[in-house]
Amino acid sequence: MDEPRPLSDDDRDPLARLVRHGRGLEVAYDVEAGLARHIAAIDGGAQPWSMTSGGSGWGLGLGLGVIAIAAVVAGWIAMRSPEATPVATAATDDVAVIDAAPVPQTRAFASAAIVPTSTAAGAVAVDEVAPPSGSLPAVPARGLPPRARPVAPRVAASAPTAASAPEQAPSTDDRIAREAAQIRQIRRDLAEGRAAAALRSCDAGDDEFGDGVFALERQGLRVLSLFALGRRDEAMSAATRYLDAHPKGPLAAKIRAAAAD
Amino acid sequence: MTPEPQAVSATELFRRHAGFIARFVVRYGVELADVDDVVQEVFLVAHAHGGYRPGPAKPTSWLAAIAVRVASSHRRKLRTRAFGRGQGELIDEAASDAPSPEVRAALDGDMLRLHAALRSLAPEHRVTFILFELEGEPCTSIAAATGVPVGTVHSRLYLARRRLRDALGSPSPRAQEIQWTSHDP
Repeated sequence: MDEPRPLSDDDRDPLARLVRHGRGLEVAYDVEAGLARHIAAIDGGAQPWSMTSGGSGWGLGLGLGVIAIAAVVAGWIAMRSPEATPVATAATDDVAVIDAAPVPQTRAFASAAIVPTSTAAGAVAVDEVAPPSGSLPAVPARGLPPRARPVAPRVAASAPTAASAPEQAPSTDDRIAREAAQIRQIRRDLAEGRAAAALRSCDAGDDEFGDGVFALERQGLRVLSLFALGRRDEAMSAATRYLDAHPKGPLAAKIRAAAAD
Repeated sequence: MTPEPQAVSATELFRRHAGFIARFVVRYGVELADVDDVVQEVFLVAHAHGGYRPGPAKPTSWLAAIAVRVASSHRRKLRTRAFGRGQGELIDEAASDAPSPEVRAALDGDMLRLHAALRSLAPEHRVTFILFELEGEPCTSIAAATGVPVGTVHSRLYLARRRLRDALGSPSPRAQEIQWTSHDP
């Protein structure tokens, strides 16, 4: 069966014009903070689906909140593979309740905001999201870790502090929290014109975290740091490598914009 | 016997596609304040499922289909909570198709018109239109992810376009031509 053609670029069609415009929507979602929360939730007890009826795959203490999530999962229990099993049509009511409270400018969790078109391809934005605390919270009854409380950034460089116990390997949560904090510091340095410091932190991050969970973000920030330092040749080759490997990477739009300047 | 394709973990899916899902659920009608919770639940469901196994459904379509279910469940939960608290205004707002004040403030004229019109579509038409027209997902992928034949995806796309044109008060170019011809002396 032939694939239908997407709405044409025919300027006479008002819907096509709207769709072209709509494709440009950008939603700024803090992937680093969200990923840290996601990993904390998984480490805290959410297991790959393994139970058949008794629920042994879930900790006993997880409570009612997990049941709510499990209710969503339940719709998928029969699904062996995405290609094999029909998924029930969504319910008809799907519009979330409007949050009556105004959205604060500073969010202590992975926030989402619509990026105005005029700034979507602009410079690195400073997200004011506080870094997760050093020890990410345990999974609460709801099944997701609570949104991290704002705390001061802990780490901007590579070496663990002297206070940390050297004989004990840091927990996964600690490591992710430190890596996330460092990424935030790099972004802050970049946004405030400290590109050299940002680049040094990228090096330090590579040394400490290697192929950590934020390696891709660090790679993108390195490219932006090189552009900010005026090292254009290096920046362009690094940008090409990044965009070839990750054309839809988290910083791809910003890198394209920097390369086009 | 061919080996089963390796699953992509939910963590890796999160790294690659959390931004896509955040944008998808905003397009779909989830309020900005709820996006993080919905995104988290989507990837927990993906984790609970053991990750994504390559197949006709692209991971983005597959995750979007999960997101539709999560968003519906999320909305029901919030409405129930508002009802329990006697928050009639919130319930009225929840039943409304109007974009929230946050969204109205963030989107410009055309983007807002499209957003509002999308919210007037039935969920199955909305998800099809968003994935195909706005996110460029192939119909075969949408069909596999939503568990319907490809022909049904085509039909939903056709109906979504027609209803959007109705909602926006904009006839198709062909209809405009016909109208013009009929008025042409």
